Amino acid sequence: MGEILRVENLKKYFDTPAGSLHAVDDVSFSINKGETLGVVGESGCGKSTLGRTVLKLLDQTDGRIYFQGRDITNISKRENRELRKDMQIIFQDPFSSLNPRFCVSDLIADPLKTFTRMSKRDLQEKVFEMMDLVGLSRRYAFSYPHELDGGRRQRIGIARALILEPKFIVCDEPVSALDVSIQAQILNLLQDLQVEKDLTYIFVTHDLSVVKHISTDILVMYIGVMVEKSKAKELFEHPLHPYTKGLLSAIPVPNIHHEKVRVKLTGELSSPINPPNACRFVKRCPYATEICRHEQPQYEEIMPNHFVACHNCRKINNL
Amino acid sequence: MSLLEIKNLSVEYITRKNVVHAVNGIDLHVDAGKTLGLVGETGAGKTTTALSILGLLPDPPARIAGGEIYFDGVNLLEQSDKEMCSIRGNKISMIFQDPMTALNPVLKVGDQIAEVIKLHNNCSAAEATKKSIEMLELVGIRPERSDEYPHQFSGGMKQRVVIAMGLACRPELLIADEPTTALDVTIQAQVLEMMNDLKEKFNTAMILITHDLGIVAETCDDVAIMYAGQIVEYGSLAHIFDNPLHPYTKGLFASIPSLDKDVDRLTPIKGLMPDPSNLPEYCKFCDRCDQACAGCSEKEPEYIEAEPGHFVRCLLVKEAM
Amino acid sequence: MTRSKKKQKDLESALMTRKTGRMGDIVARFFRNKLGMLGLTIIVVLLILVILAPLFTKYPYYEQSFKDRFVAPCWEHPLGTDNFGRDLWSRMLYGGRISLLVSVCALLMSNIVGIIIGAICGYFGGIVDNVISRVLDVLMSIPGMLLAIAAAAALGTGPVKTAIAIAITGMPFGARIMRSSVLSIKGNEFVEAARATGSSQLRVILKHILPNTLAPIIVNATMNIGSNIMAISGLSFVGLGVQAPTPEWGSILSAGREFLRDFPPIVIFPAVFIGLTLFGFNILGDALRDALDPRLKD
Repeated sequence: MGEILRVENLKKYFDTPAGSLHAVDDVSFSINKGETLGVVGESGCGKSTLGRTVLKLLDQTDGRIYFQGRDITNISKRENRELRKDMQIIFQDPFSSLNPRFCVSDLIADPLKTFTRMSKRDLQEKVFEMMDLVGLSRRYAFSYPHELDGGRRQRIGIARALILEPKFIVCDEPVSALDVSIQAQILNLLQDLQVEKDLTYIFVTHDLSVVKHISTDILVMYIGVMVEKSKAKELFEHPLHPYTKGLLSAIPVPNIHHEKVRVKLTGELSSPINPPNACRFVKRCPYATEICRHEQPQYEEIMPNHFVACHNCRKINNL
Repeated sequence: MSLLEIKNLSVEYITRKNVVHAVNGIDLHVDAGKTLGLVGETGAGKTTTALSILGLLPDPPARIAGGEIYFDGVNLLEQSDKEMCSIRGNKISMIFQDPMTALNPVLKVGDQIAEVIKLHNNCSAAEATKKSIEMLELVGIRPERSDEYPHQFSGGMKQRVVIAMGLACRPELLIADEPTTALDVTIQAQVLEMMNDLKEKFNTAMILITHDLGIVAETCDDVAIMYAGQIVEYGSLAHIFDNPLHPYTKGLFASIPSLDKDVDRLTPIKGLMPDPSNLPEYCKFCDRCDQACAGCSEKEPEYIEAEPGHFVRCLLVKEAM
Repeated sequence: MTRSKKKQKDLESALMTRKTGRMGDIVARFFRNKLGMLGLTIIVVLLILVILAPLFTKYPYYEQSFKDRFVAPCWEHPLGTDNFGRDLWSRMLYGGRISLLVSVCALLMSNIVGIIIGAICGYFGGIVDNVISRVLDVLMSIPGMLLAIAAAAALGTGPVKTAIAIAITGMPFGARIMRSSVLSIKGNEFVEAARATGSSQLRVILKHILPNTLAPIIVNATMNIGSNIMAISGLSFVGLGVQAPTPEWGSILSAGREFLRDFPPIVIFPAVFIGLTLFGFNILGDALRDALDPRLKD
């Protein structure tokens, strides 16, 4: 299957009183149609900003974005509006992402109202169709979001994103606010919809077990830069970057017989404001050497389809 | 004898319209130096249980409908407010979920810890300050940072300060309510490891409230699974993880995406938790249970000991025995 | 029943439950609020009395009669007479025309303009917000009465002009409240969601932000009614409000102050009318705020 989205050297900086905040710094990747790219990282690593910039909800500082072969880097406002039909987003917080004054039916119909002039009846029919699709009983059509639980609310958010029949969806931590049993319901729904509607996802999350479950490829980010990218299975079996190793070994595993080799990461994330020309991970890296402090590592294909940005990657992994 | 023993505790929230049955007759015990994991979903009654141990339930609307809580042989529910004040923060202390709001933003972190020490120990300000610095070092914060304000700390560091505060008086029991939920995984791993070390060092018993079974596996000795205000299963770590008996516990395990195995589809628990103001008379989990039989929707299942030390509230398990 | 038929039936029944629409929901919620209905009743009764004043009184408000000065409330003069022997009841009714009209007009003008300015500041932020906010600061730093007097002096007299003068003093406060609520609502993800689904900026402001900011605005507005009525009398006192002998509650109240000790009704009754109006608008405003918010259902 062909490529649907390609991002080249994408940069997004924010001006803050303290200096330039490098939220996304030189990120490149591509996604094939029908696949899921998981983007993982800790809070403040720029993963949400990446999702919004790719969607053109934020303007990039530099770099190029191609969607379905077309360069959408510098599109007009009107073209951007048209793009909404093809690219959508599902939000993390099922509480604040729904307007409390709209009933379920109005919430789901809202995107359609901005794009089409449908009769009330057709609109309602379409809303019911979407509610069936996401497994939301029709009797909630005129309830308000505060009357529903987190799982149902998240289904509203999904229905709203799908009603324009987009091809590409950014899921920004769609299950992190939900309880585990509900989380599994929503993950299954997202997977079913992907097959049924031939959707492509960027799945942004901090939860590694979720990302492993749902993704085809995984991109690991650290303070705005990409540190590792490969097929999901490969990444979990052979993590090459020291940060990925630390991240994987930090996950608490619900299995008391699980033997793990812990790569301990000390310290915390450094500031993304005016980062020096060094490996961003150097302060927490157990393998840091002199070169790491003076030069930002290049992003290279260490193994087929497995990209890593680390000066000492070959040495650490005995490759 | 156990350090903490809860017997048949029930808590209700009385609102204008209805009565919310948050906790419905739970039995729990924590031994000195042991860690109990209290696991359950939002609204299962975990935090309410913790707050009633500390006597911090907002009253009204909350009301203890029945039961006893024994700590060191004393029934906490019969203690006066003044007596509770000398227990809270001293013998029992609590760590809250959100480190961002748990600290007073206008006081230096060192002073905040010293205040707790001064309150419960008859000591001078200088001694308290010295002790507060010791506590900060224990949780891995450099002494010179004790003069900084909370906003100068990151989330993980703040949680360390909160933990230092909780442990400052060497409590016998520490209640930690989702202490690492607001933190990133790598920071969470650091904080959990530190908590484990300190717990062993001080021989503190702990109730760890969480929804993450992974954290339970790494830190707890015993586990209680809560559902709709009841304990549906209770046992040692090995009991719960190797031989879960209650369908809800099994459902929880099946809902979590596994890191070890490749599963194409998760098997979630269908439906939702029942409305706590309108709980069924029969098994609370019955309506979501795949294995429910006719008997399940007739009466409340008993809380039985399926194997030594392993309790479960399920009719099917009883019948299978 | 086949599946499609069943769906069709579901649709019908769902549409049946929804024939009233969102406006209908709001109206229904409003009428369920007993306190709100009381407020509405008070306001409606006052309006009827005031508008149809000639039907409820036989005396013209300006007719003086020196032998009937300071008559205590009696059958002939329900509220008594003032120091010129004018019937207080009729002065209350006719005076309400000016007081209610001008204060409500001032209220609407100051809040509508305030909402628009505040929404622009809050939503767009940056340099626009900075410039407008500083202008508002300047307006707010001038004592309200002084500002109203200056505005009234520039505009001239007459009910509409007086209303405008009063509106100018109230506007910055409405704008400030609006600005801060827009700022807090703007941070919600549903606003971003609306942008992500292709809504235009105007639509985002009107449909998603504005309805969520109304609560503090309505409370502020209903509190303003009372101060507006008193502001009219202040302006009349310096000769910039309504001209004698046209009555108006605030002026009757302040003119009656010197007779307070000897003849209390002259002060009590205008105060009661002002109080009733304030109370009526206040609970009406609260009910309106609750009716507009589906979260407060029942």
